[in-house]
Amino acid sequence: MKLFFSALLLSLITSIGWAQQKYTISGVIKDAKTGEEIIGAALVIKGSSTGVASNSYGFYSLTLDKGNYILLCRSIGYQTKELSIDLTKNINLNFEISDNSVELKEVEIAAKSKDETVQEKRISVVSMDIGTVKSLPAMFGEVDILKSIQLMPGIQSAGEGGSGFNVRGGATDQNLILLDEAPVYNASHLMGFFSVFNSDAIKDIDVYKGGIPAKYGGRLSSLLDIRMRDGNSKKFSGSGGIGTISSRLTLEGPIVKDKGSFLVSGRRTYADQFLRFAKNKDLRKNKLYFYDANLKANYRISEKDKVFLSGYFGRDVLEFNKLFGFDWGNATGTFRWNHLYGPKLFSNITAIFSDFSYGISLDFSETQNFKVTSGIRDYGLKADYTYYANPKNKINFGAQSTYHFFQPGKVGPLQETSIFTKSVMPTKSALETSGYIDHEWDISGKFTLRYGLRYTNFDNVGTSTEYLYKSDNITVTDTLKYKEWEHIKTHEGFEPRAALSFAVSEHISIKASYDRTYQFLHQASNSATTLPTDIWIPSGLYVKPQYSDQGAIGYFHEFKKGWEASVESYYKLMHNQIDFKDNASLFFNERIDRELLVGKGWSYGAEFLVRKNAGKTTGWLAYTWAKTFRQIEGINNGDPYPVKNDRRHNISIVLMQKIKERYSLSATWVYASGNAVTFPSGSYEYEGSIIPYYAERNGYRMPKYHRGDVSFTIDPKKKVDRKFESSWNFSIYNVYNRENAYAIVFREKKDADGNIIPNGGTEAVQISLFKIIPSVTWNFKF
Amino acid sequence: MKKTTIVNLLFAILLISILFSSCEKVIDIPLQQSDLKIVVEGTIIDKLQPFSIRITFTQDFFSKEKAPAVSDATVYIIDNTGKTDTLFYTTNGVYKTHNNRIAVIGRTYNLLILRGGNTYSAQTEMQPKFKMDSLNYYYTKANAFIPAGFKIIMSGQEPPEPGNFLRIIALKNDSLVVDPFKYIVYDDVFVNGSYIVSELPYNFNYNDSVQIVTLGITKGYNNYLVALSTQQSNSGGPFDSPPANPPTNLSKGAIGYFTAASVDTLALRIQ
Repeated sequence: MKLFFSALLLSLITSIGWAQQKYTISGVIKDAKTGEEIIGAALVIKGSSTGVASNSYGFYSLTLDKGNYILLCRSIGYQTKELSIDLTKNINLNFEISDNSVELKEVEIAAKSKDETVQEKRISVVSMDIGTVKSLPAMFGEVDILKSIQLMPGIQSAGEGGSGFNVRGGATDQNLILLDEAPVYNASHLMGFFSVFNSDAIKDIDVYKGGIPAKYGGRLSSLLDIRMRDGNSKKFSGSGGIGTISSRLTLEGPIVKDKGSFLVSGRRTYADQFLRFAKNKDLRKNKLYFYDANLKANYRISEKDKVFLSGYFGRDVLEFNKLFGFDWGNATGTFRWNHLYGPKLFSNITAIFSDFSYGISLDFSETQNFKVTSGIRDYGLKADYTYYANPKNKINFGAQSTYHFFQPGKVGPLQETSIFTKSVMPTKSALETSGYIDHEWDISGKFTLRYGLRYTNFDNVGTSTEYLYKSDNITVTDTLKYKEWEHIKTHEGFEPRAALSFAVSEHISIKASYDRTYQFLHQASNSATTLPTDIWIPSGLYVKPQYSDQGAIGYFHEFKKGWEASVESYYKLMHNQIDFKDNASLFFNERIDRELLVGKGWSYGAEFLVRKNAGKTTGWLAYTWAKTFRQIEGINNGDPYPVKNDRRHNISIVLMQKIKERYSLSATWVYASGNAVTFPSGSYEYEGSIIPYYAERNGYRMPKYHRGDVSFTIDPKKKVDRKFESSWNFSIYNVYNRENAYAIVFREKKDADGNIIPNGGTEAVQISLFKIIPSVTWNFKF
Repeated sequence: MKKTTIVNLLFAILLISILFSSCEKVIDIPLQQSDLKIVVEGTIIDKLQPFSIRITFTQDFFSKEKAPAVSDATVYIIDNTGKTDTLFYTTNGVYKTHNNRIAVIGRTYNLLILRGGNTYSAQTEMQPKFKMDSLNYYYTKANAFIPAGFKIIMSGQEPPEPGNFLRIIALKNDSLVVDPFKYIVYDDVFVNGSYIVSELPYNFNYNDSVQIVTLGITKGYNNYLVALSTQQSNSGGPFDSPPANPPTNLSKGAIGYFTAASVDTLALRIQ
């Protein structure tokens, strides 16, 4: 900590030291066509490395000595704009830059601006352009951000076709998923086969596998920062699509031209509509769909103030023959206020709301019916500041406070005649407060250091009921009732973060990082993928916060013609990792903390990426070699065991080919060595059945997984003044129809009707889920 | 209600059969065999009959043989009043008392097995009885969950104290019904002290003779059976928890379960 402040002070003194006449240029960088603000656009002085990148709101600030400059404003997929200025006073300068596609026809389409990876100061970050996401083949034609990022090294799929993911050996609940600053607690639809993010409403995606800035905290393994689009501030427009399983519609336009805009986007699946054609009458009555809506509005009040309102609402609904109902979903909302305290100090105040809930109802008969509900809700307030001291120093600081409310479960009868009585599990509440400071320091032209410190205080407060236990940890000796806001327990953590970047040459850089991260909320999930019923539990009297230390080092090389290559290696040590006792019961369990087992985990690996960003052919090859273990007293006799997603080799190849002006083809191929899995080591008889006997955790491997997908897109003919445009996308999932093992079941042999054959012995059966799936989507724009 | 099992089952039905086409094939997987373990299976009840326990060994998973019997053990059942019964080997791993015995509600029973220099033990307690008042039946048409057939409605008073566990067994024309669930257990967590009128998940045909048996069991045995049925419905997929051995009450690495149960039986014929 001392070191931190000495370094901060030193850098500031050295920069303030030379008191020369200095002025600041500040403003916003926007898309010329839509007025949408561009994140991460660069403003640099021609012929030097001095420059600045626009922040999440398109804002930049650059302080320079008095003089004449030629400024270059550039960004991914945009034409570079050049402007000469005579700097004699502070200037407010907004840039509008044009999309490449406007003028470039069959020539090069650059997915990324030249030498971006090398100039990129961050390590372990995967940025994915929404255009790339949309051009990749997708299951059922549903463009999916969470599945697309799984094609990058170090990010693994948690299960076939699923949107759950593991980052560098982390668990699926260790990813902080932010949608316009609001945490999303369960990012999947339909048990994880689709993600909740409608790509039509998304502007920008960044995944931090490490080197997470001090500004963010609360999860151990990664940060997935998703920003929604602001909407077109120039003219009213719309877009949408009709797909195999869902339809989408987005409307956007100015509230007041160039001052404010709005965006409304919706999506609904209609898989259940096909059930109407089912032969079985009862099947026709079932419901199975999800929908989501994204809303965003922004308004620039003055040159110094801008406000944003964003919201998300999504729900999954399953209903089975009026007997069984299951619905779940997230709602998030953020209100943000950007304010400039002069040209150098940018501030953003955010109010955050996030809610996840589920309900299950069973209605078997007049006497046997009930409904279970459960959920988590957050109310947060956050203030973030960036001080653009000079081109070499930028300081970020801020504070955040979130009130978490947990409703682990409520059960009640649907009808008065039900034999089920009302029962409510004690609620839990916590106040999570943090503060951070972080300094981005361009030490010399070659060395860049970003270091920061985050502190979090996590207070469990009432209303709640807690239990005291005997030394056997099971028998309750006392029940403690806490009143509203009454203090129960405090946990805290300091999180130092640092990332160093060294430019060896114009084309080569070496980067290193160290992060400590804390996580105070844990998802009680006993399966590889997360289910809507996996509740979140806070750290408290018995559950300690998880924390991790990660070190990473990387080498980045830029070649000619848009080629680049990188290798990164990491080691991560995770403390207070949670697993569950054998046969743990997690559903509606008031004393779920009795089912927990705690230990440590570690993960290490190397990630290789070769990528081509320019030309008619673009794409990448990613290879990850990784190992992840856990050691927990009470599991596997206390010996280390590989986690389920410990896959040694992961390969993904992505190829995007522009054939002619209107046609493009893309293909992906993924390969993964088998998950670790527990298979029986013997069997025994119990009441006439053959029961498998297990001797070790995850001692076997599933068969290897590989799959190829392709998609073909036909774009409309380019015509000037065309109001309505439409395009077709054809995609095939699992194009060579491989039967990948989804699960292997050990069971007694069954006959054709599914009945167990007496004394028929046992068999191992491989279950495969998705065979070849073709799909068609028609997209339109006006 | 077996909450977890129902939820899992519904997930499986919804996902796999409606939305996606899944396929199955039998594959060859070499499995390593662990050391032999002793397996105990035994329920003593409050009906006059010999106490009976079965002891076998684990074997190779893909073995086609019957479970190897343990014939050389010395077996005792001792209750908390100090009464000791010796069980003698008969056949097929089964040990029995020479005389008829009755397990008494409220008493604790200890099982002691001496074999190969090891002593394996287990303890269980006789639980209150769930007494059925009546059994009724009605005919139902098929729906997505169940085929057409006769359903049994069982009524009775749930004992007043919390923490009662009930196992239900059905016999159809004198043979055990294992379909659709093999192990049917109920706990009283949401229904404690209620008068229960419950439809049982069995399906009968016209003219069937039906016997319903309720067994008052311990929480431990309930958990054992829940784990067994979870394991049998476990498809090993990403939604399932890691497979584990059901929680035994036997010591020294022996597996299986020794339990006492209070029994009530009612019978009817569907006409």
